Amino acid sequence: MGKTILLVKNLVKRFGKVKAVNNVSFSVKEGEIVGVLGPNGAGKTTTLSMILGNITPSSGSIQVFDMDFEKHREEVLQKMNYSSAYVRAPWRLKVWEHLFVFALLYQIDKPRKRVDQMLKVFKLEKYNNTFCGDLSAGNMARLNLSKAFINEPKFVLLDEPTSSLDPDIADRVRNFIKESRDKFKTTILITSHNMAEIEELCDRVIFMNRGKIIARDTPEGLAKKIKKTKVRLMISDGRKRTISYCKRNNLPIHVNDRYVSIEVGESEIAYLLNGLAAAGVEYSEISIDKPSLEDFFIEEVRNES
Amino acid sequence: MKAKFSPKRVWAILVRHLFSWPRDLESLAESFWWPSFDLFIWGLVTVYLQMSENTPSIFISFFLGAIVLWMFVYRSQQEMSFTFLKEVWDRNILNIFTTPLTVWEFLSASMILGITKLTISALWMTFLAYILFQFNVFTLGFWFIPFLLNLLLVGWSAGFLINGLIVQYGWRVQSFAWTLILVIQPFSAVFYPVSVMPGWMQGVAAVIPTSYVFEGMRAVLVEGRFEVNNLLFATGLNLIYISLSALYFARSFRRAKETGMIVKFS
Repeated sequence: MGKTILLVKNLVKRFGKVKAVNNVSFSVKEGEIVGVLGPNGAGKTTTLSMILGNITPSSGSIQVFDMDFEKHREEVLQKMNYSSAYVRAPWRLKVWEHLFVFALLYQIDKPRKRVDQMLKVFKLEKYNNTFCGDLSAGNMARLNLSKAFINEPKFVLLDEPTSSLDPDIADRVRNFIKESRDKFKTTILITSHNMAEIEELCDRVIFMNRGKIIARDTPEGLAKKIKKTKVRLMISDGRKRTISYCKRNNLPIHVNDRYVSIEVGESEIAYLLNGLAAAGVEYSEISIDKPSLEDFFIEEVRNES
Repeated sequence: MKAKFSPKRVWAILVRHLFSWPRDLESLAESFWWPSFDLFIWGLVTVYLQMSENTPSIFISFFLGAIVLWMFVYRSQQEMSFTFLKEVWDRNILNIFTTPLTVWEFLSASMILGITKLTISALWMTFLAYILFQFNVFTLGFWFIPFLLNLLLVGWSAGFLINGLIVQYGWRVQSFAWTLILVIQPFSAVFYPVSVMPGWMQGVAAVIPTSYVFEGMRAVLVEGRFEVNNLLFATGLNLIYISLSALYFARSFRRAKETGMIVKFS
């Protein structure tokens, strides 16, 4: 893995008596895609805002490209960019004009040419002369992403980049993000509530809750922390016997009409199926859901609350 | 490391606003409709007053000159505040402040934009005043220019103050962008001399730079005499106020980053 692009040390942000971010430390290496996950109010946006310089930390330090952010703000931001589902573009500007302004802000050579390139990459060519205010939510998200990559950044922060995009465009965006990392070694810090997306994109995940990092690992590593696998059966005969078998063996069971979902350790699946067969239970469908990042998310959040 | 001021980034903000200006009806109204409306109403009032034998013939110059010059104060202030507020209303503020753009580059662009739009508005007003009422603003002579620069400084000082209040307290005080500057108008001797004000108002007028500018304008128009003291007082006060208001703005912006107010604008 390459050099460290982002180094966050003992970051604290207090708003009055509330500690929104509490002693957070992490680093991101060149070419990595790191996800920041957590429930609403976990401190993700505050952390991202501090990395972007829009919120001043109460204490701690942020180094980007080996430079202290506070002291080298312009130099750092020249090589960074940002996109959020929560920002918009001036509604009286045309799509190309909005991108052109950012190309000027980043002092890009041949700004108009770069704008055309970005319009092509994000399939926005036909909206070139459309006013930003007339764009659909999906196209606005694409415009935000075009803006985020206009300066060929080395480090990008993406806040919910694919929310409000249809599956096709969301897939294109994910591919672009991966391509950008593979081709240009772009380092990406991403927040999303789409767990499948985080699993697909991220090399590592930082899980925050109540201002603290409570877990960090690969998406698979976090999912593996959930020991239980869900065995889902469509019972054709023996529903009551299944329920009583699970109760006897202390196995959590959720019943939904003819379907039952039983939580069991991965190594105990064979014993479960043998036990049900011995009890004369018959089933016509079976599926085994391995624990996912979403299961980890839900369990962590519920345990904390 | 000290931030380097980049004229190219200032240009980028100018381009952004010059793209949208012709499409922005409110902004066009602020630049052309309302000043023309004021000029027309006050022009007619002065024409009517002049029908009386007791009214001095210079009366029309007082009023129309005052209207054109007051426009420099409130338009320069509004332009500075609106350039910022438009980014807030468009939810574009985080986009632009996550680029290398500095807040001082942004404010410089606001001031240049203000001067550009003001020049266009003023030329339009001058043309209208001449066509409708045969009033020539340039009768004030070259002394018109330093007075005018002082009025711009008043507008910018108020702009720094109001923008500082907005970044510190958020949306709830955005109406200051339209209203706060009007607080100084009664003390500015725009339409009447300081001598007709009650004593306490004269005390306030003594620390308001615009009062010296408008008094100076009257001296030029009525007596053809340029009082350098008026210009010196106005300039001195302006330099104090613009320094203080710029410091206040810088403090408010820093504080807004501490409280997270900047992020709340998006």
